[in-house]
Amino acid sequence: MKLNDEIRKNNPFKVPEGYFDTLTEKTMSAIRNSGDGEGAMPVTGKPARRISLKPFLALAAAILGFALITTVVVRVLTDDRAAVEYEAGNDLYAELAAEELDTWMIETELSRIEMVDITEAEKTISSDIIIDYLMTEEIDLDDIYELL
Amino acid sequence: MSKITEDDIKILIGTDAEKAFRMIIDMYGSKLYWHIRRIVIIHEDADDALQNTFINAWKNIASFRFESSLLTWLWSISTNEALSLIRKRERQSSVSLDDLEALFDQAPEGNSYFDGDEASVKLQNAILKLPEKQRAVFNMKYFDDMSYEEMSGLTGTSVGALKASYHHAVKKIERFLQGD
Repeated sequence: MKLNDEIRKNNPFKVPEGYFDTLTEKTMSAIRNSGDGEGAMPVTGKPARRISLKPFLALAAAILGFALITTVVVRVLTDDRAAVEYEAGNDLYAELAAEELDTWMIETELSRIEMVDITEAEKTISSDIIIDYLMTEEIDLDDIYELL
Repeated sequence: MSKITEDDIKILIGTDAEKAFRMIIDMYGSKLYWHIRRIVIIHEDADDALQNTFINAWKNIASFRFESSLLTWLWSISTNEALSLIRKRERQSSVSLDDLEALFDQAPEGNSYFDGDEASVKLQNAILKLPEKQRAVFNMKYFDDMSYEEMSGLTGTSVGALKASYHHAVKKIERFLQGD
C-alpha cells in the first residue's frame, strides 16, 4: 500500500463535542489554578516577572571556585619553595616508574577489551539503523556533507 | 474585523496580558492541539499536553522577546510536552505502546475518539513505529502539508535533515504497509 491523498484526507482523530469552543476558558482557568499561585493572574493584568536566581548562584559558585583554586595554587607553590631538595636521581627514578606504570595500565586495559571485527560489525549495522541514529541524535547532515 | 496578528499581541501583552494570552489560545490552540494529538494519539493526553504548553508559555511570556514568532516558540514547547508525555507513558507501562490497540487499552477513553478505517489504522500503526522526532516530522509534512522551510523554522532542524528524515519515514511506512 502506498501513501496517497485519500489516506491523508481522512482524519481519524475526533474530539469531544464543543472541545475547541471551550478551550480558551478552560486553559485560562488551568493557568489560574496552576502551582501555588505561581501561575496566578496578577491583578494588574501583567504576568509576574520572575526573578531568576540562577545568575547569582552561578556568580557565587564562580567566586568560590576561584577562591578554592587560588588557595590550592598558593599552597602548592609554597610547598615547592619550601620543599626539601631532591636528589636528581630520585626525580628520574620517579619519572621512569610513572612511565612504566602508565604503560602497564594501558596494556592491561587493552587486553581486557574485546577487539571487534569491523567487517562483521559493518554487516550487522544497516543503513536504517545509522539514519535512525542520526535523526534521533539530531546530527546535522550539513556537518557530515562538509566532511565528505 | 481585521485578523489579529502577532504584532497586535506583542503590543497588547504589555498592557493587558490576559486578553493577549486569550488571543494566543484562540489563534494557535487548535493548530497546537492537532500537532500534539498526532504525536500522542489519545485525546486526554493531547489535552493535558496542550494545557501544560499554555501554562508554561504563560509563565515565560514576560521574558519572550518576539525575536522568533510566537508560533515557533509555542510549537517548540508543545513538541517537548508531547514527547515528554510519550516517554512518561512508556516508563509507566509494562507493555510496548507502539500500536493503536495497546494505546487504546491503556487509555481510560479507549478508542472513543478514534474513528478510522482499516487503512487509517494501518497507517497510524506504521507511524507509531517511527522514532518520536521522525514521527513529528512525518506528521508535519504529510498531514499538515508544511514546506520544509516552514518545518525548519519551527524545529530548528536544517531543511536537508528534514528532507532526509521525511523520505526515510515514508520508505519505512510503505515497507510496513506492504508487509501487512
